[in-house]
Amino acid sequence: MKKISFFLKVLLVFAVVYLPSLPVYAQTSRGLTVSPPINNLEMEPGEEKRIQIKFYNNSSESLVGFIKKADFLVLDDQGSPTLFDTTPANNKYTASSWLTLSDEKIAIAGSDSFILTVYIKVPINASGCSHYAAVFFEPANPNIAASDKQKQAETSVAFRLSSLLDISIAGAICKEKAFISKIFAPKFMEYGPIPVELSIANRSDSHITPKIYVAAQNMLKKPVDLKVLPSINVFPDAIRNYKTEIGQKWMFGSYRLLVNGGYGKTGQTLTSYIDVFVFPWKVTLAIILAIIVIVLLGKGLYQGLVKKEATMEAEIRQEKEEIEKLKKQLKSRD
Amino acid sequence: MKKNYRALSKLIIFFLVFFQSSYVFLAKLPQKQIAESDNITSASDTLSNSRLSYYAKVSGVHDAGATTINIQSGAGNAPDINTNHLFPKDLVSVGPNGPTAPKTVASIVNTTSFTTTTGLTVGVSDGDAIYGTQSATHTLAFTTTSTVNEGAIRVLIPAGDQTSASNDGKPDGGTTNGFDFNSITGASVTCPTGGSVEWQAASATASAAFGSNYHAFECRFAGSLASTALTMTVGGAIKLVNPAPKSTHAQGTADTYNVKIQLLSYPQYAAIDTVTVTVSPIEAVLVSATVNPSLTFTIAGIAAEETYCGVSTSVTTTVDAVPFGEINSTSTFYNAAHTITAATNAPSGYTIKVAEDDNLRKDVSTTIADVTCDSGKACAQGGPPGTQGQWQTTSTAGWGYSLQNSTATTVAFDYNDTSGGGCAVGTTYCAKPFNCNNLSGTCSATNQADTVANSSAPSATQTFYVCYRLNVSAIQVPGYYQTRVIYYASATF
Repeated sequence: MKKISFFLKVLLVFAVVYLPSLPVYAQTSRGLTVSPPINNLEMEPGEEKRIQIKFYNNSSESLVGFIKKADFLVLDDQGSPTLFDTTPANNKYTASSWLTLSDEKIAIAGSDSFILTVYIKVPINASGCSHYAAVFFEPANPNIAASDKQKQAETSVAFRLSSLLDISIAGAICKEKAFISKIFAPKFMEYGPIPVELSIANRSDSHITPKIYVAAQNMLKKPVDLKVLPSINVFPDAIRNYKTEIGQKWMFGSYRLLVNGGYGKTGQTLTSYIDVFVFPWKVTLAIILAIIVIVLLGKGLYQGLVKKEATMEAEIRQEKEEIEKLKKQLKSRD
Repeated sequence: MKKNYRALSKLIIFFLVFFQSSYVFLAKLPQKQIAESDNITSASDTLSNSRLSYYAKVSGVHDAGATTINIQSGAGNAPDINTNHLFPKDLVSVGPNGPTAPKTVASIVNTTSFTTTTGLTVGVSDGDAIYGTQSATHTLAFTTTSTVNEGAIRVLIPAGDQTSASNDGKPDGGTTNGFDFNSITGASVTCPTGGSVEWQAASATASAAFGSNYHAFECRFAGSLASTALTMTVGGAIKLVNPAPKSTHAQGTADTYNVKIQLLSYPQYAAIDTVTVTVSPIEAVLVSATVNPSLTFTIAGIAAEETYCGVSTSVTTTVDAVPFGEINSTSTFYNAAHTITAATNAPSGYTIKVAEDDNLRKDVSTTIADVTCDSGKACAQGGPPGTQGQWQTTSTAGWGYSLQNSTATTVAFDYNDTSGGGCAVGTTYCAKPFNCNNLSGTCSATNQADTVANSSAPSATQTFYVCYRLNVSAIQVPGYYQTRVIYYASATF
């Protein structure tokens, strides 16, 4: 009994002395999944609806944070949403004020999920055709101990994982207007395929999802290739860029790249074209040079042979004459 | 006397043994041979589709155009009295005009009703048939033993009865259960090959013509067939229709049917060898799963003394902090990094942006400046996007970041980019200041978050690294400096 007691005492002393000095590792990975990432809704003015957004904590440790809402716009040509904590003035696409969240601060246990209910009420006098908002989770700020705030520099890191809401107003009369604001391809290329870049500017009241294809025609107006571009959204009052390549490596002559597309509920069209000249000049030059060299060599060889033949003929003629002379001399001797 | 007794005993024993042996030899053995010969061995019948056909009856009147169909649920009304064995995408015939315009099952509403993708062409009445056929090719494998000259192989498949109902293309279940002949012809029967005999074209005879509750399929041969392993198939362009459930059927338990394979002898084509095999059609099992659209964002800390963006990290990061700690050396790069991953099945892909919500600040008027990069190779906040530049000189103080792509579709720039903004040939550390979005402070210049990575299509886990760099000048005011970097993860719109 005494031995056990002594052993426990020794263990306690070791624990007191050494345990505080062992390194304590902070959480090294934090993952969160939102589902769905985009909610496409069509609602009548005055209509109310509830949707659910699920957040799943992929980490083994619990995650505490806030659920917030914000308006978003697409300001670049890549379709990436920009969230606004404060609604920009005159934002005719705002929808965040229509949303009521079931929870504002949540804790999600490790490897568990939280289902958020979003209550949407479209105002009876809602104007416009499409409205956009985002609901996002943001982890709570880490607490920094006051004692750490001495002679230090620190950056806390947070993230906002969003679920986007696109609310179309049913029955609204919407303007549909979009155009190809830019089409670019190199004017001259040595080899195909031809890189094509184009931009669609959307001046509609709502986002559009154009179906676009690029067709390449040769000088005889025969189609040589066709590329269907991905169907992606173009936010209202925004531009979206598309990139593709058309044709094969070996192309010769002038090509017309025709861009055709359609969008909207009223069957609007998009059309444009650009001409490109493709000519593998290095290869062509090398072939021409090779032909010239071959021709010259052939000519030289031919001329050499002809000259040689003429010389030989002359020599033979001369020898014949000499032989005739000798024959005559022999006959005269006889 | 004793002698007579022994002789009598022997006689009795003799007759006993003799008569027993004679009875077994003359009566029992022949009986066994005639009934079920074991001379056909290794026999089996494999169905290409063992699912039972569906057969129910309409409950109530349904008008033309109706897409919700109700069925009778009373026991004994029909082989099927619920929708348990009906699945979305099944083709069903509803009512007398059903076979000419079969409908596709859209969904199962409950145990007594289902919906179709298109409305009924013609209205139907109470009690009209609803059926969905399941057809199968029977592949019969067996080995003959007896040697037969000019004989035939015959397969007998159970039919519901001997009427035309067993040959109308509709499933046969309930009390008249069996495989429907479905007007199959010899062209859809494949005779065996091999056996060193000449196989002739197959024949198919429906139960009504065959005169028993079996459909018969026969392949005759010329020559002498010795013991051979053979395979015969019933079903080609036309197939037999699988039975509907028997009247005694319990869902989840197979109904059994005995199929006979016979070796026939010439000239009467009488069966000399017969073997019985069992086939067991049963209900199918619906397997379904829903894949939800999702977007996953993960951030992970990186330990010190790891190499990212071409430099060794000097600070260990956690998921929510980049603790540069005490800055004891000026004109020295302090490097740190985070691993960022994103994955989505959203058709439009994902976008990740970043911004600081304030300058790296001590107090209202004191900050560590956002880096402007090396002289003549400037980087700047702005846009978005801001501009990247070269930051390799320790005399350039400030705070900023770089990126290293691993598997992301697109990152805004890479630490070793030699073009773009102020990054040029010779650049080994291309960097950028964080755009400051003024969310919780007063940025010296306010800009929206800047994109660091994106994709325009669904993507499996894509990884890139964000490298943070801090370099403090010798005249930096001492104190605690802090800011917050926020990553914005969303689907690309």
